[in-house]
Amino acid sequence: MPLRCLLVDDNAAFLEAASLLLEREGVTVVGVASSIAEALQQARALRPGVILVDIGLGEESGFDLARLLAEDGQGGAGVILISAGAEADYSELIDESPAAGFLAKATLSARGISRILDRTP
Amino acid sequence: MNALGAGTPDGGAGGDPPDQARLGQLAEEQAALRRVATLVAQATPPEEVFAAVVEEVGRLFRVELAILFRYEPGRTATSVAAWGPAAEDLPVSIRLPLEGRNLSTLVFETGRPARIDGYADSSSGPIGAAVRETGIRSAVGTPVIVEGSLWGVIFVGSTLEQPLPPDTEARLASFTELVATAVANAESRAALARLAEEQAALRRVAVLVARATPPEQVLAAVAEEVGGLLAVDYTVLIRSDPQDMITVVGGWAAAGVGLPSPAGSRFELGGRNVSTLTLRTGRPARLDAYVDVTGSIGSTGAQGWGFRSSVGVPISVEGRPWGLILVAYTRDQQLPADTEARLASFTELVATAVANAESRAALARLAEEQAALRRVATLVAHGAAPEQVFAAVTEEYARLVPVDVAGMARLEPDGTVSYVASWGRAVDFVLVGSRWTLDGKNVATAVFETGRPARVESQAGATGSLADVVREIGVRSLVATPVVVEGRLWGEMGAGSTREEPLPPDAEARLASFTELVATAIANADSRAKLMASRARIVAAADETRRRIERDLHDGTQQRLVSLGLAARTAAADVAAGRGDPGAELSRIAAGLADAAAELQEFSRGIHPAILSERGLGPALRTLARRSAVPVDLDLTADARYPEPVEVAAYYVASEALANAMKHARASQVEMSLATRHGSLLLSIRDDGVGGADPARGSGLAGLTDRVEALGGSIRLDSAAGAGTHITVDLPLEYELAQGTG
Repeated sequence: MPLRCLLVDDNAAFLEAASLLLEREGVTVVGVASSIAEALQQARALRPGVILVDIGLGEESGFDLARLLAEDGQGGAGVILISAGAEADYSELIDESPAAGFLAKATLSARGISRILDRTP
Repeated sequence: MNALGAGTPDGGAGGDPPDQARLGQLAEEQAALRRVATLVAQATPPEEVFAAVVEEVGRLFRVELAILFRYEPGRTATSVAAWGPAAEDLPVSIRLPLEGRNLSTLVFETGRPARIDGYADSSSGPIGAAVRETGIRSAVGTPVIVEGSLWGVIFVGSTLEQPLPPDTEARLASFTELVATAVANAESRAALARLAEEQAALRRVAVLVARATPPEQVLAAVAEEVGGLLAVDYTVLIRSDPQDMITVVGGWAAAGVGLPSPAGSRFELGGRNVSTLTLRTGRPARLDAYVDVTGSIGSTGAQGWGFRSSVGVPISVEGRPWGLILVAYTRDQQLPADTEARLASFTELVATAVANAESRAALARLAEEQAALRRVATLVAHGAAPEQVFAAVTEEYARLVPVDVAGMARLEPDGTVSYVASWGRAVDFVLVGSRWTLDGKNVATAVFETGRPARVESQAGATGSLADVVREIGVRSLVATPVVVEGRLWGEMGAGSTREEPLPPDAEARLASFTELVATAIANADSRAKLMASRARIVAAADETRRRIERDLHDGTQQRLVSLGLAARTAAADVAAGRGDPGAELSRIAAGLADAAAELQEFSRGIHPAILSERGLGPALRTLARRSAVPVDLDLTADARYPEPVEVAAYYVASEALANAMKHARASQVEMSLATRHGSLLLSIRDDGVGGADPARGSGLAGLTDRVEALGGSIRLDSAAGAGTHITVDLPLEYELAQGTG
């Protein structure tokens, strides 16, 4: 059964390009969202296996969303933070966050997602 | 020698015996004259000469009485020496009136020798009676003339029935000449001694004056020296004060007599008395009879001090009347006629002492004021907080003048005043932080109405809440002066006194020198605050710019490139799997990359236009104009290279103005000109838009103002609603970057 994925990013161009790539790599992108409220709603409705959360959501923060998803009982879904920036720029915040891991947007791939989800207990 | 006449006491008649007798008499007379002359030549005191003379003549003429009378003022005579058996009943030093018929009176009246025979029957008056008592029957008197004036009389008297020989007058005359010489010598010696004494007294006072002795000590010394020298009973030094008042400033009283009105006692001028006469006429005045004396000082002198005769001499200090010196007798006697002249020599010393003390005081006051101003100026120079300067100025001024209260108030935008400093000497005057309405009419309202210093000598007629406050603490006179900061009436500073006398006439002028420092302190603090705010804005603007660049790069170009990367990987996967339309995908990627490149170009131009640093302001403005969405009419009369900060500042103002013309002003045309004039670069941008631009709103212009001002330039915005917007910038080409001095 293919991995069901929710993409959260405020950049439409990225949502499109990432969806296309992940679909090609065998991931089902069940939904996209560009704000915290939208993301929480989609997550409840769609019950995705993984949620990719952009760290910079315009005025909102991806870290906040990750925390809210955890509090909202979406623990079943693996939350992975993504950013155009480097992991090193955010390492401290990523460690503190309940998210399962981090992926750079430039190297986003189905394999990368699986590797993080697999090492999650 | 005179021939002996008939009826001499010897009664001899002709021949040898009389000749021998005459020779013997002559020798005797010569010897007597020689003895007296020797005494006179030896400067023997006159009293001894007088005693010797009466004895010599008494023995020579073989009479029972020889007296020397000295004439005294008031038609009296005193016997100063007497000899002879008959003199025992006639004590010396008795002063008797010159009345009736007697020798003393006759000689006094005629100034010539006189004789009285048959004294018992033909003499009268007190002197006549006294002489008659001694049993004298005939007498001869010869005047003593000292330096042309009648001084006294020598009198010889016999108890015998026979008259004294007719040559008695002539022979006596030789002795009167010797008496006159002795008296004249003694008088000159006494005059000399008196002069020396006076010179010594003057010298002692002059030394005090030269040593800058405090005036009160000099005045005390003068009073004492004058009192001793003139042998008066009182010396009083009196200062003339405004409003017809006089103050006793020094005095001396003969031993055992107190000074009933001590130094500091004040009297009102007026009435008939020496002080008033002297001060009113500016000339010496004298009262010898203390009757009809009136006025507060007059009756004090007459009744309180017991004056019987007094003389006053005016004292002028540097040409203006200062007061007087007064001497008085309490004994029933008139002050000598030369009293005025002798006092006059002391008035100049008093005047010098007073003038010296006054100039020393003026100098000391000036030095004090300079020191106080210097302390405040130091505070200002060190950039002390204005509140600290206000407090320091208020207290320094109050202590200097001195006043009892002082305060400084700032004019608030709503027309009230708020106190920024207040100071009170021994009175509760704490107004700091309080606010007052400028109601009524008082010095503060006067200052704000006229913008000029104001003064009142009393609180009568003052109204309003501020007048009530000072009246309550007993302030009578007040001065206040405006505080003007950079041409604007900022506030006022005032000071008041609870004392009766008005504040010194220079109180306002001195206030002004302090308020100038206050104005400087305020202006400095103001520019310092402005500078710090502008610095903070410049730093904040730089930070904001960096944040915007980061966000623009991250959210824009970086996101775009990341997405293009993902699309490229999708295309690669499609090529490998032989599905989709990789050609179309690659075309989209290429187009996206071209957009990204254009975006970066625009972006870097926004950070700093390359043409500005490479080609200068003119080409950069031309480029800006070409790229502007609103048509720009560009007039470049200045097209050289200028200092980089000047070019950058001008470019950004132009760029911002064009952006505003397009975005906010909805303009259809912009006129832009660049010129140089008087060493400045002048940039003008005028649009035909809606106007009404508010420089306080939007940080774009504020940031540019900071940039322009940091270069010592100025920026001006005219943007009345509906009249378009006109921005002019004046940038000095010889600029100096503002250096922090914090």
